[in-house]
Amino acid sequence: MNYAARHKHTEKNLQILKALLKESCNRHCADCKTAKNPRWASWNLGIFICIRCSGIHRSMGTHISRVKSVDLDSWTDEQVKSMVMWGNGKANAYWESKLCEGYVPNEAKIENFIRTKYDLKKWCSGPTPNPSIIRIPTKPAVPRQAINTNPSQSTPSLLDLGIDLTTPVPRPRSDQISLSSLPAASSSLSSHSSLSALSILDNSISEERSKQKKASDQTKGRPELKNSILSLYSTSSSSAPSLPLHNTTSNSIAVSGFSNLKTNDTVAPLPASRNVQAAWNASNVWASSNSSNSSPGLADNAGNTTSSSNDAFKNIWQ
Amino acid sequence: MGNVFSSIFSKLWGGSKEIRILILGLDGAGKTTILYKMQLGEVVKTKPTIGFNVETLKYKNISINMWDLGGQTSIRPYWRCYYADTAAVIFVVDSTDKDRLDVAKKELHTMLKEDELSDSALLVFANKQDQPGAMTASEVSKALGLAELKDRSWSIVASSAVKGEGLTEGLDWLIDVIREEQEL
Repeated sequence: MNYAARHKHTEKNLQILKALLKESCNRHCADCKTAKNPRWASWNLGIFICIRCSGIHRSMGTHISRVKSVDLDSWTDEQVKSMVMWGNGKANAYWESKLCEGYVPNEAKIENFIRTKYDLKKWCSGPTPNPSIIRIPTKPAVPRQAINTNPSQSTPSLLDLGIDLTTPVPRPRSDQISLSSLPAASSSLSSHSSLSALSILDNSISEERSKQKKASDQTKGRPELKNSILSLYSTSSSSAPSLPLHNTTSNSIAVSGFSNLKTNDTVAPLPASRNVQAAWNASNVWASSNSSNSSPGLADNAGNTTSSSNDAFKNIWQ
Repeated sequence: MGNVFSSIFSKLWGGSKEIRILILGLDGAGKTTILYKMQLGEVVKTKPTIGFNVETLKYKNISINMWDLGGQTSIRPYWRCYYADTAAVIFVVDSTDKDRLDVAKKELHTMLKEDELSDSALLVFANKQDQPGAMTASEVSKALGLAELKDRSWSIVASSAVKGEGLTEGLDWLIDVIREEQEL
C-alpha cells in the first residue's frame, strides 16, 4: 500500500472511531463513568475510556487490555472492528452484569474497581461471549402505545445497515441470532430486560430475523455470523435479497419507535441522536445504496439524502 | 601534577558533568514508570505521556538528564527532535507484548540509523518481567535483531519497573560505558 492509500485508509478508520464516539453510551468513560468524551480506548475490550483510566488499563498488562489513543495512534481494521462490535454499552452489559445498573465507582478507588472488573472478572457473567448476542439493558418501563409511534417521528436508525446509532435499545445486530437457538445467552439476556412485553417483542422480532438470516445465508452462502453481520454494511444492495431487506425496514420502524420513547424517558436527548445521524451522514462512512429506500425517517431527520453508491466500507472488513 | 590533581578532584566530586539520556519505546512499554522508579524509587500511577517527562538524577557523581518521550504512533516521529547530544538511549520493550515486537524492532532500527545517535550507547530493558508470559531478555534480543547492530555499545537487561528489578543493573552498565567512551 502506498503512502496516499495508507493515509486514506487510516483516515477512514479514524472517521469510524469518531462516529462511534458520538454514540451516547460512548460519550462517557466506560469505567469511571464521569469523564466525558473519552479519547482513549482498549481495543481488545472494545471500550472507550478516559486518559486516567487508560493508565490503569495499561498497568494491568496487554493480556488484559490493549490501550490505544483515538487521536495519536493508527488503527488496524481488526482493532476498529472490535470497537464496532463492542462499544461501552455492550461491554458494560457484560463486564458489569452483576452490578446494579448505572453504578458509578468511587473516584478514589477507581484503580481497584478497574482491576476487579477486568482482571478478577468479578461482575461479568460467564466466558466472554460474541458481542453480537449481548443486549444493552434498558432502563425504564415502556408504555404499550410506544409501539404505535409514528415512524416518521422516530429516531433515525441504521438498522437496515446493521448498525444502530441510537443505542439504548437492543442492537439490531443482536437480532441476527434467534434466542431459542442460544439457550445460555437467552437466560442471561432475559435477566436484562426490564419489561416482559419488550422481550416478547424482541423475541418475535428475533425469530423473524433468524428466518431472514437463514434466507440470506442461503442466498449469500456466508455461514459465519460475524461475516454476515459485517457484510450488511460492507456490501451494496446488489448482494442483499430484496424481500428480507423490506421486512427489515418494517422491523426497524417498530424498534425505532421504542428507541424514540426510551431516549425521551432516559435523559439522553433526541436531538443528540439526530446529530449523530447527521454527522454519520456527513462523514458518509457507512452510507450505502440501501439507505435511500429503507428508512423514511432517516433522510427526513438528517435533512439530506444518504444515498450514495460509493460504499466507503467496501474494502475494510473483508 | 596540578592537572592530575584536578582530574582526580573532579572524578571524586563529579563537579558539573552532565549527560543526556533518552528513554524511548512503544506506548505502554513502561518508560515513565522506569523514569520515576529510578528517580523517586517509587512506582507512580502513570497516564499515557503526551509530550515528555524530564527529570534529573544524580548517579555515581554524574548528573543525568533523563528524557522520557511519549510513545504513541503519531508522536514517535518527534523523537528525532531530541536526538542531539544524546549520550545514550534506553529503549524499553514490553516483554509480554509479542504482537508488537516487530513494530518495536522497526522503530528501534529506524532510530539507530540517525546520524545524531551514531555515538550513543543503547540499553534495552526487556521490561514487565513480573507479568505472566513475559519473554526472556534473550528472546526479546533475538526478536529485536540486536545481534545485527554494528559499531554500537549495547546491552539488554530483563527488568520489572514495578518491582524495581534490573534497573540499577542496566543503569550501572550504561554509566560505565558512557564513562569509558566520554572519559568522564
